Amino acid sequence: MAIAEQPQIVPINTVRVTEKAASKALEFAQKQGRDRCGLKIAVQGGGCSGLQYVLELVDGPDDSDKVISENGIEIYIPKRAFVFLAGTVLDFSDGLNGRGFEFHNPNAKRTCGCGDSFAV
Amino acid sequence: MSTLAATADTALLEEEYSEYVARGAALFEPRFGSTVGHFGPDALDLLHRLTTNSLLDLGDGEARRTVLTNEKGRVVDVLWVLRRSAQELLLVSDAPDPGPMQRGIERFTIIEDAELKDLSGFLRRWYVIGPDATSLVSQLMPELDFTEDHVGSIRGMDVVDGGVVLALRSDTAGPESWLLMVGQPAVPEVMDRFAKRELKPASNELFDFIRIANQAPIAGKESTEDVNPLEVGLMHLIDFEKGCYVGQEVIARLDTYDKVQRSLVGFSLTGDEVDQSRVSAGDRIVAVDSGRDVGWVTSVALDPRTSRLIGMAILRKAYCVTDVCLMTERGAQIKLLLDPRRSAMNARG
Repeated sequence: MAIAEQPQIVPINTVRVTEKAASKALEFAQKQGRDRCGLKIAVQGGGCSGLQYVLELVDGPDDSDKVISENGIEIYIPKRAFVFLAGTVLDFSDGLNGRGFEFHNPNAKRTCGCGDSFAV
Repeated sequence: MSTLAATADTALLEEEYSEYVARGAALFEPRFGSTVGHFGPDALDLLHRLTTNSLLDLGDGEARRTVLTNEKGRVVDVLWVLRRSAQELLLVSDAPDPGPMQRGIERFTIIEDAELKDLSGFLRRWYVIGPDATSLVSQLMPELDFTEDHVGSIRGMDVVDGGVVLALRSDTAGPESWLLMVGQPAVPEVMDRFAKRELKPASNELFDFIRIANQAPIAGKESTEDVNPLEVGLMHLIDFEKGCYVGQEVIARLDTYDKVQRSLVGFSLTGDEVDQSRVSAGDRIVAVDSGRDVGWVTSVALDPRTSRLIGMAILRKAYCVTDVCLMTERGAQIKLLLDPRRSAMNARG
């Protein structure tokens, strides 16, 4: 009997990046010819629901960034954005119907159709 | 309002209207509106992501109007965005309270380097409105070139050291409106120019009449959080190609599936007797046949030519037809002025 996959419980004081998402981000970094880089995850105003995710490969963290290391990649999160992202899992969905990087954010009360925008 | 006061007010309005017609324009000092500075390298990009119109291509010295909507696609405010430089914008609104606009922007300012500051106390505002408004403003400000102007044009100058005057061609109260924003040090000089041309600010009643006759919606009265931009004729301020902004999904769906339920219309009172107490902004409108609540009055003004009331209302679209008998909740029968191109200026009782 197959055991259903349990939802990943993420401590609310951190942000997780799945192995697949980390691997994909590193692949993009390699294509850009970056030797050392991290993945900045932030939130800015905009999008259908008012807040939208920002993903960016950067050389290093800013002074005010929270730094998390997981699955071989460093994640940088601006402190002002962390309150909206705490407990989030960044995953990657590939294939024909895949949506690329996907955020599973427990703070999001509502997300828009494209999944890039959310409300808290 | 007492009958005596009403008579005096009516006489004053008629006098002001005569002067307006003779001069082709009138000066107003509105008791509403605000000017908010939006500073920082991310200010324009943030506004582009939050509001309905495309703003990224706005150049220095240009202005564009846009609508700040909430997640439900309802109007929070309608504002002019004036770009003074890459890091300095002026947000100009006719809403009586800048609070909702400021809160609507601040709420979504997370990592952006952008800051709001209410400048309403530093810039005094006047409107010049009427078919000859441009001519009158050019006489008042001969230093400026008004030859290629259009809605959104800005002219600016320092009349005294540090005393800036900004003239913005608007459409707040009709096709020819200029909003003058004057820095406090320049106010005496500008008022002196008004006095030399015997220009005195006309009443808010005349302003309302001209605006309503032109069926021009204003923030705080027609454009409120009770409606979406499509219901109050602000379609021209929506860029359907720009991508996401707050409320975009709702507004796109309303447009795509033709689901806009209500419309802004002008009306006049059909009764012979003028009685201000029979209708006022906020009154519900009902269909006489069914008794159904079909909308509400947003603005009312006295027409100085006919001594009758005219107004604007938000109505269910099914009732925006000529053969339905409508009245306000206090029994004033209304006649709809349905053709948006036909202003009430030309529609005598």
